[in-house]
Amino acid sequence: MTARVPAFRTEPSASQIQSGRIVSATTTMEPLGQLANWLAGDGAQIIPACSPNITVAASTTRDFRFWVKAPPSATRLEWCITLRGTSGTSTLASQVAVSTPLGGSSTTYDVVPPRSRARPIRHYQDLSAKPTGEQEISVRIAPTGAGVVVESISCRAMPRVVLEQDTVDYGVELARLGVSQPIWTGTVGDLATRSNSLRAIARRAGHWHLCFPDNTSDAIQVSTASPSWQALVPLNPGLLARFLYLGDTVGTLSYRVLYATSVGGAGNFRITAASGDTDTVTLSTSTSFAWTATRTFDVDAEDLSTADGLRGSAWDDVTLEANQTAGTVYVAAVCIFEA
Amino acid sequence: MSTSEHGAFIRHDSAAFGDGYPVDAAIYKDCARNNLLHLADEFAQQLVCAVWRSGVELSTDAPASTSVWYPIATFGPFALRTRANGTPYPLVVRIAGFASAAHSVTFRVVVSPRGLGESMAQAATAPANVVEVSTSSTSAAWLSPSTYIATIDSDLAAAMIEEIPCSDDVSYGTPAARLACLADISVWAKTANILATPRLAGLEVREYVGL
Repeated sequence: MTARVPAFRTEPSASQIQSGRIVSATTTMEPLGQLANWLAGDGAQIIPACSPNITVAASTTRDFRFWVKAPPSATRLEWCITLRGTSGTSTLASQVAVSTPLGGSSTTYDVVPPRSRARPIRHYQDLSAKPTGEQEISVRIAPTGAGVVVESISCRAMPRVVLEQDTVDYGVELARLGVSQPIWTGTVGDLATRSNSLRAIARRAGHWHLCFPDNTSDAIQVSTASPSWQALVPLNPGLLARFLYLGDTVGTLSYRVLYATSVGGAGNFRITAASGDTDTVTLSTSTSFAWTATRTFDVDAEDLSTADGLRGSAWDDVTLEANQTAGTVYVAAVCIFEA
Repeated sequence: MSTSEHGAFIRHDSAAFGDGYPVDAAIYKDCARNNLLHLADEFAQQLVCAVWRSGVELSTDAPASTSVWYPIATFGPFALRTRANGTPYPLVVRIAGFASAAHSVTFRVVVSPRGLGESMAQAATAPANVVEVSTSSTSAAWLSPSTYIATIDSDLAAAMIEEIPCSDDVSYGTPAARLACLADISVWAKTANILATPRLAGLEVREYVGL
């Protein structure tokens, strides 16, 4: 009696589901159940690889904070962090202690200097509870011996092997769909209505994360006075939302900004999609780094009729800007995700 | 390619699948099969999405040769979404880069089994799992054409299959292992003149179920 998650998705044939045909357990019912379990339990890339590309000096610590919405069935996160030593040539130059969450127990990894030998660290974080919504996740980097360059950070919710059959995991009992099992409301309705629940769960979880350590030296300093705007990055990332319903041309993404201000400082953050939508949030005075509330904006939805998914053969580039209305504003992170 | 009947999610009334309603093949095909397949198609992931601030772009070390592909960075490994035949979804790649001096530099983005990026980057001709683009500009910009598609055939996909450590309970309560298609995404570059160092200013890689 299990709701097992297959390693590969299934693709049940449409030709088997026809009026007058016998309902097949092996070509229709079981593959549909497996597909539902794959959607609920295959995990997700909640932080696409971002690249702070900053140096963390020996015997110092840097905290990287992200705002995400992980799948509700997640129990384990895998952080992939590429680090490179800042000195030496080929011998071990430094070690680095990695802890998730901040202040939690740490694991120490070796770091070598040459770029050609930089291998991503795979650091596992076991969750104490399944995610119930949006949350902050974070990683602390603490090198010893010599400094390290943090080249990239990414994180994914690991897949599950067997799901619970409840309204958190949404596992489908595959044995109930096997040969000789009766077809009744519980099995037919489960599969058909399950797609409604999975529509919100099988999301494109992570879209873009700009992340620097939460201190005023490493964060982006915004000194441009309102009403002018200061671009946070020189090139704009292109984003594509999931395409859900016939006729959709845009999809809604969510974002949060991690920022701080000087004493008495304040400002604004603005996000603008090339497709037209824009959203502005006020950055109120906060001398310690804090998140804005979750905001939303629209970007192009994927176009499944094109070779690359782009709508109108153009990337929907997103401009990220901030300004100050008093003092100085520091932006440490911008996290864009599907909520 | 889109695997669902309608290429979109079809809204339906949940009550139609309750007690007392006949099981209708057409509705079942539209709602159960179509919707689950469409969600699976759009379950594609954004794997890399990075742009760098001016002056802190990623680059190769100072090149000493014009015939060597030098490493810039390795991202991942990533667990790729896979089709029913075991091959991963195609990957749409977008690259921004420039040269430190006005000479041609060429970038390669390699999707490979873990640790095999270097050998695949050195291939004389870029295979289907390697995207290649050149520029001689000294200004950071997204390079043209704006998208490239990297594909992974079944042999390469088989080499990417690994057991990964999972847990079916919180706090690592029920350790388990599961197969996944793990790939590194690494960036390499070559220069036509050792005075020009290749610099990577942006990289986007996302899965797309494809045409």
